[in-house]
Amino acid sequence: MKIHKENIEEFMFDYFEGNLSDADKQQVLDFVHEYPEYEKDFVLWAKSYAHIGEPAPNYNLTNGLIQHGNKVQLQKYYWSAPVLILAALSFWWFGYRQEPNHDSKTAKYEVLKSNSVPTQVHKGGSSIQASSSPISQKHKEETTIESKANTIEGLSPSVSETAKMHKDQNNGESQGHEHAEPLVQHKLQDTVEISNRKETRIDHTQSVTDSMSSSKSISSEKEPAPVKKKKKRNSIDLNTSPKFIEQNPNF
Amino acid sequence: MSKQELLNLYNQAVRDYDNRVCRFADKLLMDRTSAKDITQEAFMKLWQHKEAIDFAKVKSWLFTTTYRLCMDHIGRKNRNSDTVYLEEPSYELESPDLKKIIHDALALLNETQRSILLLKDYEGYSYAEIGEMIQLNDSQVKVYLFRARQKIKEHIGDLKFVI
Repeated sequence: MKIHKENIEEFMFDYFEGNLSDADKQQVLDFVHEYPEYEKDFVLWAKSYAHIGEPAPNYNLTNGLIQHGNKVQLQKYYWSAPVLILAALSFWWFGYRQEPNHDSKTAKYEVLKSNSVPTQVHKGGSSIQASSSPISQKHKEETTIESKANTIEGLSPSVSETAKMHKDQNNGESQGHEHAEPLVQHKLQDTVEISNRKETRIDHTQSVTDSMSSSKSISSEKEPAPVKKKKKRNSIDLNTSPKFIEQNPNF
Repeated sequence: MSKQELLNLYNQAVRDYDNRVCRFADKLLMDRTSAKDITQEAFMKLWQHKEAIDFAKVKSWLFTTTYRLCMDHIGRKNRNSDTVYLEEPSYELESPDLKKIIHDALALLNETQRSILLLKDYEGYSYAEIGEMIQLNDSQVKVYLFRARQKIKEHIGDLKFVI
């Protein structure tokens, strides 16, 4: 294709775009040399590409756009770790410590586990023999009243019977030391435990209902309350004395 | 492809192209703040559709998405105001920087010319690739580019001190 003044602009454009063959490129250069007035245009075309290859500036978006998967979500909740620890500690301190809610199953398990060592359990003044270890005694204290509340009512009538039975069997000899079968021992252990719980429960309810009065009565049992001296009322003598009339003649 | 692999591919795309995508939007919109918003939107779309995207062509996908987002932005801007305010070219006579002059000259181009010029000169896309991105054929792209360069050349020519 022949280059002329009408299409030289397009050729110059193609020259710098790299769309021309070597032969065509040479034609363009020859034309520019032939017509120096196009040299200026040729240079301007060249300058219009000056920005090519310019590196991109840093817009500081990378850190905001990078995804961290689940780590990002976890990092949002890192602050809550101390709060959770504090909450757990406070729950343990105020909830678990004040009202121990030990699992009754584990307590039973430990009772069964330690049924070889006999211990003496007192119930309402009468001693009942049962085989249990100090651990089971400890768990007696730790087991909650609520966990046994249902069984207390169901089994409580049998407590006295069981106690009587044991007392009769042993006939008061050596305070009834006996190595019963584990199951029987366990049942006995439970009944004793329940009876203790019942007692403590009754004591607790009594102590609640008789909060102030009971405290006074307890103290009165220990120390006789000081007898209040009744103040005698000053009796008023309605009979007028003869002096009164003399002193008050107008009366 | 596992989630971890997709995550790595996405993050690599961010590292490779975030500034280039943002520059494209910046020079196209002549508004850095909007450019950053659009770049973030483009990468958010990439993250949302990461499982459906072929990461071998992620660069093309990013620039196409950014171009469309920019066009939507310009369309909204034009609807809100009849007049399009573009930055006036600044003439710094004492210390002329040719790149700065060319950057200013971009304001003289329309959006299509500017998009094609940016994709060609900064990203090195061919006419066919640009045509695919902005829904034009090769010859149309070439014509737009020729007119864009002519305007820039004339703008540079007006500043006689440059030569």
